[in-house]
Amino acid sequence: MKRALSLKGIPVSPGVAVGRAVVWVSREDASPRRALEPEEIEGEVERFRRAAESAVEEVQSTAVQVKELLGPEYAAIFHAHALFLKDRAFLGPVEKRITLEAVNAEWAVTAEADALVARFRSLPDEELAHRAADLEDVTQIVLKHLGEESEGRLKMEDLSGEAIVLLADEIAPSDAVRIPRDRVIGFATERGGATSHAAILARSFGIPAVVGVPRLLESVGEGDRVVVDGRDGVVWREPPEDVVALFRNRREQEARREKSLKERSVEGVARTRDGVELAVRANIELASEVADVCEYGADGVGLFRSEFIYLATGSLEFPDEGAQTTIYRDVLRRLAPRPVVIRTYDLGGRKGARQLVGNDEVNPVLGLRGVRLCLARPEMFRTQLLSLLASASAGDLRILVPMVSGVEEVRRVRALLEEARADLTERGVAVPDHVPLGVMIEVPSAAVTVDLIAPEVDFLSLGTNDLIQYTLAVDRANETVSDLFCPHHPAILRLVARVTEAARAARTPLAICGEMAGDPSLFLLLLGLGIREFSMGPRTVPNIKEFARTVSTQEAARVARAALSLATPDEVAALLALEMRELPTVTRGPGAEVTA
Amino acid sequence: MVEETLTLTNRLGLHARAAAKLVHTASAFSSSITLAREGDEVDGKSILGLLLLAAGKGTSLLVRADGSDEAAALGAIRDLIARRFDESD
Repeated sequence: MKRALSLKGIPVSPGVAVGRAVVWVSREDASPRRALEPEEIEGEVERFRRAAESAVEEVQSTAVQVKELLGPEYAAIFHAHALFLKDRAFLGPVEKRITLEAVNAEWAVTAEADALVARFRSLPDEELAHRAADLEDVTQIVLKHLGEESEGRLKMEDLSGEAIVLLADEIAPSDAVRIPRDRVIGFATERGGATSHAAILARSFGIPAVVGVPRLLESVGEGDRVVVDGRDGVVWREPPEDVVALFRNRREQEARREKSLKERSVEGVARTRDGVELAVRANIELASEVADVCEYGADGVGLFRSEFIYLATGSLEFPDEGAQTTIYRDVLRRLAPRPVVIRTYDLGGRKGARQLVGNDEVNPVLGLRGVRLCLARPEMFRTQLLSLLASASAGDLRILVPMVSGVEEVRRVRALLEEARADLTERGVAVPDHVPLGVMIEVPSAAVTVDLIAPEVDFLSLGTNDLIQYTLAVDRANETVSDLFCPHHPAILRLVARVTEAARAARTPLAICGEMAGDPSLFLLLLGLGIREFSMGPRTVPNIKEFARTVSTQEAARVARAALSLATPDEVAALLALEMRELPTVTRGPGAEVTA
Repeated sequence: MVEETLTLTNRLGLHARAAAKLVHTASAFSSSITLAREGDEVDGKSILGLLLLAAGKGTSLLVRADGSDEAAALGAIRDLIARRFDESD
């Protein structure tokens, strides 16, 4: 048995997991070189050819779907991909490498593709240089099919055993979504941050997770006994028995506490000590989380991230109008009469939409994403708007638009919504007279001109994750600047104060749906700045409702005023820490890890 | 074997969509088809080859076809280029 070892990382999902390590290698990352025996060569060339053929089939079927959804212009890209995959100038050299170097197909494909990519990138014509990205995509598709051919590769669905703790370099959102929750009880990764999608999903699933653990994969191996401490951000390898006992104890206590919090949460709405009623809703992405909304006593859904309908399928298939209507209707019906705020597709940036944008953006986070991408792809957007309106009679639907930077976008969306409504009416589909339309305030220009936007919408929702990113110019997913991502920054406090004031003046309801609302100390601050509607991961709801009942809005306002007078994030954090210590029931709770 | 020098007159030259159309056109014929630019010769049925020619508007290409349907092949390519690859701009 190996020596006990503990490693420190960023805690992103609370709880304790005691289990056995399984090292997860995603199909796309490793293309290790494997030397072949002479008799394996012919089979390997065959395997490559089959993979290339299935890749062509996949690309061609994608081309057909894309043509229907987005038009022939976009399908053309996939036709070009299909041609690459049939091109002897690509296939020939790969086969030659497999044969002459006696090396596996993955290695040969990657090496050939790299050489071609380099040649493309060096072309003076920019458009042609972009084709390098197409070649990379095509290579990934082939690698994926090669992976499906071979038995060695692990799929999430194939993980066997119990009490598995997954260890990985990184877990992509499309893999995280498929984690088998009956077998995997926690995970730890070398890379990643608190707001990465794997972290958000871990919290949704209620499994402990720690990310950003340096040298994790060198230190912990397959089969090692592992403890993942999602509260303090520690991963233990072969911990001594007494340490395990302590963790088991803690886990039981936490489970008991969670149970009683849940019961209280379900009982009723949260009212502050001075009687102010608050709405505490849930942020969800999977239709499967709808059950959690009720189980954890959330007052509704403050944010349904609709793009996950698309991303979770792992393919390029956008569900059609009928399929989307069914999904939205189901969510609305199960939660009625609770309000459900559905955010229109927030794709682009890093969320798997390279194909939609068509080429590599240098700054995807500042590029064609959110409402911009939707307005640039009207067919895709129209389909979603039609589906949303068609489902609206099933419950209390509110439509939320992401990444709005000004009033003009709001007007364009309203116009499209009116067209969709007219279309449905003509078809004889019933649509409620008033379906509230709101926008996310996450782009600084929207925050600064919120007084112009508020009168034109039915509600506003503060997206603090992105607001912080854009205002402080810090990429959320970039580990090298993660220290600079500060919810406590005076700029953020002032922007929130400004938005709350404008919303109040315009009498427009305002909610907050960023992860920061789930941290009790930040919740206190937001409450003090004037927010009365909150939305967070469902599992964080009970703790926040409980906390809300112990504070008064006047105390919170005092804390906020004091915080607004401070000059640095550290000072604000220190003030909050002090205030929290003074409060009768200080509860760190699940949400607190988010802002670590 | 037949050959002819043809000049690209469409705005984007031999970019991805045009190259794809050329490959489609060429692949319909059994003759071997090549395009050459300043000595670089590529297979007309290979999209990678065509793209790597980096032939922009105004580039002259020597198109060669060799086989039983060579005349038809050359004619089809001539037409495609003359029609500017059916591009609207």
